[in-house]
Amino acid sequence: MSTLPVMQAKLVLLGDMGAGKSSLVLRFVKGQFFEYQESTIGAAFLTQTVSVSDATVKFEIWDTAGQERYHSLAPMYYRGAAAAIIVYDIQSPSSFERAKSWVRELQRQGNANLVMALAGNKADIAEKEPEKRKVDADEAQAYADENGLFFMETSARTAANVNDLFYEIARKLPRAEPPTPAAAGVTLSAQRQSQRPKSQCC
Amino acid sequence: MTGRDGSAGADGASTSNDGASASSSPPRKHPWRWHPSRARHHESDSHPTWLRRRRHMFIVSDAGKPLWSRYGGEDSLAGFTAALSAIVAFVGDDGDALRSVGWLGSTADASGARPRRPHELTVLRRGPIVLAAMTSTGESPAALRRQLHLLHAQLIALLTRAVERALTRSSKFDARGRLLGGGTDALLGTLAHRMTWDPGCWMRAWAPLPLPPQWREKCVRALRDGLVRVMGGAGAGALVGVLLTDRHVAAIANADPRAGRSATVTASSTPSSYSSPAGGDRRAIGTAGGGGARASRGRASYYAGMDPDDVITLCNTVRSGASFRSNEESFAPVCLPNYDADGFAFAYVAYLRTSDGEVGGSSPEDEPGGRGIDSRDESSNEEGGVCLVLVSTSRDSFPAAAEARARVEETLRREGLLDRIAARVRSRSPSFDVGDSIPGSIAIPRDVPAAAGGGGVAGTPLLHFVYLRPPLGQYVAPDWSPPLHGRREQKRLLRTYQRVFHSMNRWWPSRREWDDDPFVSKNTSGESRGKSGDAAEAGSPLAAFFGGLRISSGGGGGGGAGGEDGGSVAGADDDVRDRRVHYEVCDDHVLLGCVGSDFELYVALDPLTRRSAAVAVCNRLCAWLRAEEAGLFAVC
Repeated sequence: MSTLPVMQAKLVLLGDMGAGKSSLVLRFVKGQFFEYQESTIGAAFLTQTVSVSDATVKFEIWDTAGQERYHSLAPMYYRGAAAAIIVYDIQSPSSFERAKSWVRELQRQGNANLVMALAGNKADIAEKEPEKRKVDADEAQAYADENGLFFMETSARTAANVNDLFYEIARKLPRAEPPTPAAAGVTLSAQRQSQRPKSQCC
Repeated sequence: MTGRDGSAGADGASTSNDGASASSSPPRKHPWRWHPSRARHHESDSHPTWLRRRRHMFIVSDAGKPLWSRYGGEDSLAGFTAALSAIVAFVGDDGDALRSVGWLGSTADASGARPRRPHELTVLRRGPIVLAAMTSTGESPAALRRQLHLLHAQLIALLTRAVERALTRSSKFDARGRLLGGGTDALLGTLAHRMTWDPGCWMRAWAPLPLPPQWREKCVRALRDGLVRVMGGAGAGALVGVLLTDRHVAAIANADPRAGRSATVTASSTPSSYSSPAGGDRRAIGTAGGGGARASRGRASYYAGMDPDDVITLCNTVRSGASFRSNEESFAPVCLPNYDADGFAFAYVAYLRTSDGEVGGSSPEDEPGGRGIDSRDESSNEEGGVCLVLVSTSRDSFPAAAEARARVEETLRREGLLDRIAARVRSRSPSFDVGDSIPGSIAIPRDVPAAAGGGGVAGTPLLHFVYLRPPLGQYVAPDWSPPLHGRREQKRLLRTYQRVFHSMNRWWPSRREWDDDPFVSKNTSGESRGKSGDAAEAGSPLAAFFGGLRISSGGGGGGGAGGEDGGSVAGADDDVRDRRVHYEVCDDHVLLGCVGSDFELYVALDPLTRRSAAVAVCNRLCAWLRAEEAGLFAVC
C-alpha cells in the first residue's frame, strides 16, 4: 500500500454557472453539501488524494467560476490539466449546451492525454421529480461516447456517484511512470481525434 | 433639491408614487448583515415596497439597459431605467451634465404616518455607464456622487474597463447577462450596504486593525518577503500583499518598497487612471504591464502605494465573496481600478488558520494519502479568520503565490502573529451589535483614557468619533458604545458625519475625481436641524482648539506625535488648505468636526455638552489619538 506511486494530477471543473461544480468538489473534498452554495469568484484551488489499485493520485482541483465573464480566463485554469470534469445540470438544457461548448474548447486545445468526464449533476432531483429532468441520460451518454468522454450522472446532495467519478478519473489517468503503464490515455486520444468533426452536431 | 442643471421637466418618469404606509423600514433581520436576499430580486419598479426603499442605487448603460440595481430584479426595472436614461440623455443633449434632480413624490402620505422625504436623484456618468442614486435619506449630491464613484470603481474592479468598451461598441451588449450574473452582483450589493455603515467608503479610507507597531512591521515584512523573495517582486508582476480580517486591514505591503513612501507627506491625491472620461481607445491587455506602469501613474502617494479606493474594493470583493472563505485557496482575477483599470490583476486569496481553529497548521497540500473523504471540516467558516491576499499581474502566479503564502503563514505563525491578530479581532468584536457596522478599532469605555475623554456612558460626554488621516487613506473610529446602540441612531450619526464631512472645505483631496463640483456646497441638505456655525474666528474657544493641536500655518504643519516616517511635510499645500471647524448641536448629539493639515476629526458628544467642554474633550482626544497613532494606523 505504502509503495504505491503518488502522482499529482491537475483537474479542472468547467461548466455553466449553477451547475454544481463547487458542490461536487466540496462533496468530494470535504464531504459537505450546502443547499445554498455561493457562486465562486475566479477559481478555487483544492486538493484531495485518492488511492486506486495501482497508484495514489493527488488531485489538484481547480474549481472554476461558471460566469461567462470569467470565460476568457479559463485557459489559465485548464492549461496543463490532466483531467477535466465538465458539469451540467440535468434540469437545464442550456447548461448541457454549455457543457458541449466546453468539450469543444478543450478538444481544440489538443491535449491528447486529457481525461474528460461529463457529469450530469443534480440527479437526485430527477429521482424525486422525474418531470424536472430536461436532459436525458441517454442523450448525454451518446454524446459522451461520441466524444470519448466518460459520463456519469451525479448528485452532490446525496453524494451519489461523486466519489466514483473522481476514482474513475484517477483510474483513467495515464500513468506516466514505467512501472504502471496504462493504455487508457492513448485510447482516448485516438477517439478524440477521430470524433472531433462530429462535435458540431449541435 | 439642488436641481442644478437637472431638468425637473422630465418628470414623466411615472415614479411619483404615493407610497402607502410609508413608515415601515425594511424588516428587521438578525444578525445585521447584508445578504443577497436583501436585493429583493422579486420587486419591480411598480412594486410599492420597491418605491418606498430609501436608498436606491442603479447602474445602467446609456442605452437604458439596467446593469445592476440595489433593489429589485434588474429585468423588471426596464421602465424605470428607460426613464432614467431618457432624463440623462435629455439633459446631456444640451451639453449639460445632470447632477441631481429634486425628486417627485409626496412628502406625507395618506395614512398619516410620519412625513417622508421625497426621493432625489443623483447621477454620475462614466463613459457609457450611468450610475444613479435615488435616495430619500437626505444625503447630499456630493456625498452620493462620491458613493457612485466608488460603486463604479467596484464595477471596474469586477469587470475592468472592458465593460465600457463593450458598451461603447454595441449599445445592445448585454452586460448584465454576460458579465454580472451569477451572484457576482452581490458584491455591488454589499458595497452599497457598506456605504451606509463604513464611513471609509465616503471618506476614501480604510480601517486599519490596531496593532503594536512592531507587530505590524513584522507582518509587513513577512508580506514583502513573500512578494519579493518568493513571487519575484515587482519585476515578476507581484503587486501587493494584504492581510485582512473581517472588518479591518491588518497590514498592506507593496512589492515595490518605494511605493507609498510619500504617504505620510501631505501630498495631494493623484489623478486616478480610470476616471478620465471614457477613452474607449485603450486596448484591453490581459494582464497589466510590469511594475513600470506604476511610476508613470504616480500613485506613490498613498500608504503602500495603494489607492484607498482600491483597498476598499479589493477588500469588499474578498470579504463578500463567500467562496473565498469556504475554500482553502482561491485565485481570482481582480482589477485595481486606480492601478490599471484596463487589465486584470490576479489575486491569490487564502484564509489562514489560527491555532484556535485547528492546530494542523501546515499547508494543506502536504497531507498525504489517508485523508478520508470527509476529514477536516473547519468550523471557522462563519466568522473571524485572517485572510491573506497576494496580488500579482501575472496570471501564472498561482504556484508562486501559494508558495509565498506558505512562507508568510509560517513566518506569521512562528512569530505568533496570527494568533495575536486573531485575539485582537476577537477582543474587538462588539458585544451588542453583530453584523455589518462601523469597523470600530477601539472602545471608548475601555481603550480611551479618561483624560482623553474615555470612560463609561455617564463618565464622559464623548459618544463617538471618526479620526481620518487622508494621506494614509486610513481612519479610526471606536465601536459603538451605549447610548448609541440603536441601528437608527447609529445610522443617523453616520449620516451626520457624512454631511459634515462633505460640507467641509479642505485641501484634501485636492482633486476629487468623483465630482467636478466645487467642494463648497453650503448646507447641503435641509436636514441640518441644528445650528451649524463656522466658528473659526479668532478669539473663539476654538483658537485654543487649534493651539492644542499645534497646527501652525508654517511649513511643519501638524508635526505632533510621530510614527510616520515620511519626514518632511510638504509646505506647498499650506496656502491652499483651508482648515475648517464645524460645530453643530442637535437633539442627539453635539457634533464637532475639524479639518486639520493632515487629519480630520469628527467628534460626537452628548447633546448637553457645552461648547467649551466639547472643544476641550476634542482637544484632548485629538492629542491622545496623535500619540497613539503608531499603534492605531498602519504607518510603518
